[in-house]
Amino acid sequence: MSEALVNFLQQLVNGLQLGSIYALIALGYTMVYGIIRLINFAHGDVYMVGAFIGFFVAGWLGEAAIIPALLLAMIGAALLGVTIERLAYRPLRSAPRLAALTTAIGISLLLENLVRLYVGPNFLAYPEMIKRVNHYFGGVLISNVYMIVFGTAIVLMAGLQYIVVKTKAGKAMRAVAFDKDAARLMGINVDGIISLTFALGSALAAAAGILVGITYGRIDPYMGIIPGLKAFVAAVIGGIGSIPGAMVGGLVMGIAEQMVVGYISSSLRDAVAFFLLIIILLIKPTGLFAEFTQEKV
Amino acid sequence: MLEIKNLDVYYGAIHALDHVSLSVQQGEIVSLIGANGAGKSTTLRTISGLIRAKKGEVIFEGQSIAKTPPHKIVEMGIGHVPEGRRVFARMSVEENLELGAYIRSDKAGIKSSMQEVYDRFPRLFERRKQKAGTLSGGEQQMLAIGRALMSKPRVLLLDEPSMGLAPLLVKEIFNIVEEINRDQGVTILLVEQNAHMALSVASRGYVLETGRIVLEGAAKDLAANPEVQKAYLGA
Ligand SMILES: Nc1ncnc2c1ncn2[C@@H]1O[C@H](COP(=O)(O)OP(=O)(O)O)[C@@H](O)[C@H]1O
Ligand SMILES: [Mg+2]
Repeated sequence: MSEALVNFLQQLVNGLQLGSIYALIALGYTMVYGIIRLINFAHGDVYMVGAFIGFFVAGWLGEAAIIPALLLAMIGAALLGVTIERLAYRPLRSAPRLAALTTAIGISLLLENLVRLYVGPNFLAYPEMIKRVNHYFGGVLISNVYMIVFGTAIVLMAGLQYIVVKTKAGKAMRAVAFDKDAARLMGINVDGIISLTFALGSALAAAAGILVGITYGRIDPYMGIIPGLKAFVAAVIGGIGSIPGAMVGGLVMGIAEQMVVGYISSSLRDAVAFFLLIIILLIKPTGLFAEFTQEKV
Repeated sequence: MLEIKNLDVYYGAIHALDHVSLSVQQGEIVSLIGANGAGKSTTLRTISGLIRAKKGEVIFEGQSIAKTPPHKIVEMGIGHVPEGRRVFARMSVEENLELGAYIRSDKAGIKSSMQEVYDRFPRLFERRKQKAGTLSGGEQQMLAIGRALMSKPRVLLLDEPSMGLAPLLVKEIFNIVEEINRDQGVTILLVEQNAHMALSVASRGYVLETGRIVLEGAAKDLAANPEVQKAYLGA
């Protein structure tokens, strides 16, 4: 293969990995928006907390404990997400939307500062949960870390898709997202389904947090801010409320970012998201998989 | 089997129901008629627990349900076909029916209930893989009724099933309402602006006017009442 092609494929591969992580985070934004029309600005911080739970579990069980770290972080973040909804958002459900949005920002700051209080403001080196082995495919580097991170993200997304499309709980989620009173008349406990939505979205974010820790080797209490914003933009690009949209939006975001970094300048890394946001808002403001176009008012 | 006593319901400052009382006996079809805005839907929504009365009682089979959450009321055996059908437009006909059986877990029983719905509404069977939003108004009404039947309710609340349908379809829907009552023994509380049809299938009726029950009695007496004829039967 020519060097230019190898280089392009390398950027694409790296972009897919980054994108799969944005997609995992974006799913939580889109599911929560779909079900209670709230932009959960604390979601990026749930991702951060997930990364820290994984950090502590590995400190406790040893570096090889990737599976317990992943599971405990997902469970812990799910409980955190459910608690946030229960205590902070549920009481505001019939209040003006701005009240819940402001509360979400408050929760975000609270989580960042609580973690900072506990671990300090600096970067922490993430445990090396996977011993890196490099593989080259026609010159393109695909490490075992890459395969595990990308593979885990894909398996989790497939699992979510299965839950939402095939299971009774997933059907109930879709029903609640579409029409809460009609869902109640089916015998669905709407509050329970909203809790479940927060649990699933938060668990995916926690997994993303650990995958990022493993990939980049460091975490800090503010690590959720920028990826949280980018994942939110990814959800908007995909069409907020749409689950396939969040997956595609995340991948588009990751690839675009990597291409810009690879071909133009790494100083533009964080600008890509906002550039994409402007483009999508100009061309198709409802996003690629418009979920809320035919909504009856 | 279902009784409401002195219900007072408000939307903010709007007094939507003012001391409304009515009862439905096992096996009956009872019609609640009234003009647009009279409070008919509010009555049904209060029974289902979607809105809360400020005062008064809702009693189902001897138990007070005025504070029971809506999903528990469905489990107790009250089905509600809401005004405007409210089908899950982006889900298939089959998924809508599955959601109707949400409170049940007897797989074989659910399957046979679904078959019963398809037997009663063959058009739903033909369109079972289609999104509910692509169905015609009449088909959506059939789906809404079929979906409510999937929970095996003992009482069915029907909110204006004839709304927006062509006369022939209205007749068909009312035939089906009578069949459900006769064959499956489901007790029915029917809300309608179409008083003629509603009184023709019911044994008893109530007339609601701006939140108050102004008349009640046997359906045929109401249909013969000059005031009812003037106000609701276009005579
Ligand atoms: N969600 C609501 N908010 C405020 N007022 C409402 C609401 N729903 C109904 N109302 C008012 O309550 C009264 C009764 O409405 P409704 O029960 O829908 O009547 P009907 O079903 O007989 O047409 C009407 O005056 C209506 O405007
Ligand atoms: Mg009405």
